[in-house]
Amino acid sequence: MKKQVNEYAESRSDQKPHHALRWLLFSSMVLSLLITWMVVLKMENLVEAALSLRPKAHLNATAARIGLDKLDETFVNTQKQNEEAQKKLLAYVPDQNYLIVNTVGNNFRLMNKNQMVREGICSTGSYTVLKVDDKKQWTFKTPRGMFKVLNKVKDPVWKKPDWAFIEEGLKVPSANHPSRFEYGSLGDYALYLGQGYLIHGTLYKRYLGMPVTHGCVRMGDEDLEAVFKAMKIGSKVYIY
Amino acid sequence: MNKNNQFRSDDSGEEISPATSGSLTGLKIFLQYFLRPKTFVLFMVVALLLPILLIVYSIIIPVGRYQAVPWSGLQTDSLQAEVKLSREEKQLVASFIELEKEKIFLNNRLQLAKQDSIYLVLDMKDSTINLEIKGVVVRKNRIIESRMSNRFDLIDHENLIPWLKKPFTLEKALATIPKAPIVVVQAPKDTIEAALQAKKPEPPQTTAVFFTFYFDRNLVLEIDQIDPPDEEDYEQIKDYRRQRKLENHLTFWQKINLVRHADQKMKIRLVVSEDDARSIYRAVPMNTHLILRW
Repeated sequence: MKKQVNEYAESRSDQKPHHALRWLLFSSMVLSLLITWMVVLKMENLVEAALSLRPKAHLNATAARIGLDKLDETFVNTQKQNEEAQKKLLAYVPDQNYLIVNTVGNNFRLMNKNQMVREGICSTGSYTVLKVDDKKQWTFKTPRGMFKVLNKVKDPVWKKPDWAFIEEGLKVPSANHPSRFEYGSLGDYALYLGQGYLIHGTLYKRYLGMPVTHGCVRMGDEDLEAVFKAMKIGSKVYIY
Repeated sequence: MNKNNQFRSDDSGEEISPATSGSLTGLKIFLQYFLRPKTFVLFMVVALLLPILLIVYSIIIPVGRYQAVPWSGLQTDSLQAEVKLSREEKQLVASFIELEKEKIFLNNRLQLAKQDSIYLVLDMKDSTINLEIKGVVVRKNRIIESRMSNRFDLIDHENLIPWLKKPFTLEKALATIPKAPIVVVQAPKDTIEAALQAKKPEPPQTTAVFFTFYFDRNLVLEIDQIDPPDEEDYEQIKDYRRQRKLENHLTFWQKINLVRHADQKMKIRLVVSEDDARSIYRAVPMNTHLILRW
């Protein structure tokens, strides 16, 4: 039996040079294509790795542009220019108190120069789109950018706009109809930012910290009082 | 048992057919043949020739000759300056370059401070990415991890000046979250319908935030949250990564000519907290600007 196996093996080994070489070339080519494909797939990483081995940028061209003899002078001049630019930038920070409102996290910071005076939660626009028809709709979002306090009012009265009635399924009354005027719902104070947007109080304190308003900024009673006292007419409000 | 077809191996006592025995012997012969030094060398040469040629053609030669220019649209002068610098002069020129970069950074901030829009200030030196409005930092975001493309280090300062001279403008963004969480509500017809529509407000979202900003002049900013995402966000993240892959897709020829291609992405990858990532993505407008310093 063993003899038979050996005979079989010998018969196979007669074909060795052709078969084995063919298999060797085939398997090496397959491997070659696989490695090539891996290289192509990882080309960006390999290029990044190769770039890290290159020496860093030369200084010669910059030295030639300035001129080595003028380097000290140019250095001092640039330093002065930077100091001036820094001063100009600092002048953009308000001298008086200012407010920063975060509409993403629904919180605020009352600032003086670069120091935080007070921070707390607030409510900003809900991003709800109230759609009446294709032509008429309102988006309840708090506008972003820099605003100024245009007016400060104690015990404000809310003159309800059209959407306040439509939202409740009511008929929209005439412009100065008594039903438009609501007392107490804006809290004790209001700071006017223009275009109908206000910073005011709320009856729904449990919703503070959530995006629930129609675009105004709502605050809790104590925070609102502090902000009202700290901010003057003309003070800046940054909303992002 | 048919003795012509059935054999018994001496070692294991397991019954094997002539075919199995033959292929095992064939494999043994092949391995013996393969492990001969000459044959092995031949195998390795054939297997590695193509990848090595590709690496030499696509990486070694072009990287060696690479003239780092961040954007093909730049007007760059010839940088063949023959100036020999002493060690002290090199240090002085290097500090001047830093000063000039600072000047560009400050001038860009001054330029954007005059505009009304919210913009980003990416300061790799301070490891911060800040939101600014009219020159006032409204939110400081700490960078937890960062990685910049090695190309940044290779660009000559003279080529860098025109690239950095004005703020970058956002052209496209991909993200796992919508820009604004808009909910459309149809106006109720009467008070009964309004009462039915009234619902409790939902707490702020906590979904995973991963996004990529594509700016002009080849600058790409990838921002990932550090916090591990919830399982329910995996699909969203997978979709975002697929979109990003499509956006960055290169053909085979583009890949093998990657370094030779004039316009290459200048990538910066940042890792920040989920809260910071969400604030950055939601706060900036779609045509926002970015100022860069490193």
